[in-house]
Amino acid sequence: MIGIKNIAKYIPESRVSNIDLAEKFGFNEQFLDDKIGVLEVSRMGADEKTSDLAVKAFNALKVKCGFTSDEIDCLVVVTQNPDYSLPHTSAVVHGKLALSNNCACFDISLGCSGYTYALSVVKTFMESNELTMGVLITADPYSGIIDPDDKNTTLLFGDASTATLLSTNPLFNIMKFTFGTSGKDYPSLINNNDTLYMNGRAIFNFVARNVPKDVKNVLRKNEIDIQEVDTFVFHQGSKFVVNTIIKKLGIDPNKAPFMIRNYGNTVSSSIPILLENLLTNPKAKILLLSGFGVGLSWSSVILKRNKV
Amino acid sequence: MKNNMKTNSEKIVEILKAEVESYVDYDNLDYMASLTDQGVDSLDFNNVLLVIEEEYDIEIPDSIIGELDTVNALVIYINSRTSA
Repeated sequence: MIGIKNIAKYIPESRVSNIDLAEKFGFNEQFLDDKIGVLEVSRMGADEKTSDLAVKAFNALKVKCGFTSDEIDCLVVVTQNPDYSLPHTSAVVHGKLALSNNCACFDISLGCSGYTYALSVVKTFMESNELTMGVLITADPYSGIIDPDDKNTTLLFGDASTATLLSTNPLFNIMKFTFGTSGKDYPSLINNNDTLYMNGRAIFNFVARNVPKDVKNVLRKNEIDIQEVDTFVFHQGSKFVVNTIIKKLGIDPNKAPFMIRNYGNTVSSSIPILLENLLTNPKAKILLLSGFGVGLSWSSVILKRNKV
Repeated sequence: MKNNMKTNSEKIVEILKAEVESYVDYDNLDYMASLTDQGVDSLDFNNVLLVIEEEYDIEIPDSIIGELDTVNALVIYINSRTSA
């Protein structure tokens, strides 16, 4: 069975300080820290593209795992900010990395629910086609579409990318998923004429109404009690959003980490960035991942640490 | 309950106490003064509105929320949207 073997990330070094911007938007540092949970956001270089972020995450994974590029038979990029409307960014990344011609490549167009959706798609695709070593990349830099005068988005979103190695004999087995969509609400989070718009209230309502229910659904589907989950890996929308989910589920806040203070909400990269830290923690045996956002869309899954 | 339930300022204050994380001086809360000015930030206020929507089975449009920034305004609005 295909599962998660390892994860690497790339977070650009460049930062924009929210503290410097707080006064302009009428916030204080305490609000930034306690509610948004982001003090600075990461920004890729002006000359960098989505494929460059993807290549950096891939190379970090390669260093970590020691595989050769020829071994990769599947490369998938999750992004809604592709280098070009065509071709697919995964092909561009494939070219930059000089991967094998026998490597399958495709993109998945999803936002903050993208990682969990993609785990399902890539696992199934690889198993159906007898592929053995795939890399799932998330790279969705919003900095190119953010209006610096829009307090709803400029203080929140950061640029980053991740690469997840999916293979046989994994560290984490991928269990059953749940998926959902509320397409009527798509205008609440949208790129209109190259400018990101987010209705914060609508997104908050969507999360508060749907995500706790989805978490309960995925637990039921996997026949797992909520107390058995060692760590809840929620999409790091904002501190207020994550705290709302924690409160509605009545779970121990220590089991649901929030750690985007120094780089921001990195869209589909937020879950794998957190997950990377848990790979080496042997106490993290049963994990619940939940992604939600653009679409509006949501998806959750249970991961179980492989006993071998 | 739902949709035929009237409200009053005490019920609104109960919701505020349960949902607002920021410090608010409830002993001296002015029902006619701006909640924002009394410590309820925009995120907490969104949460309060969500709870009110669910509690009273009403939908509060974005266009009106700027006019609902006091306890009294919330009471009047909710009671205008719910039947007797």
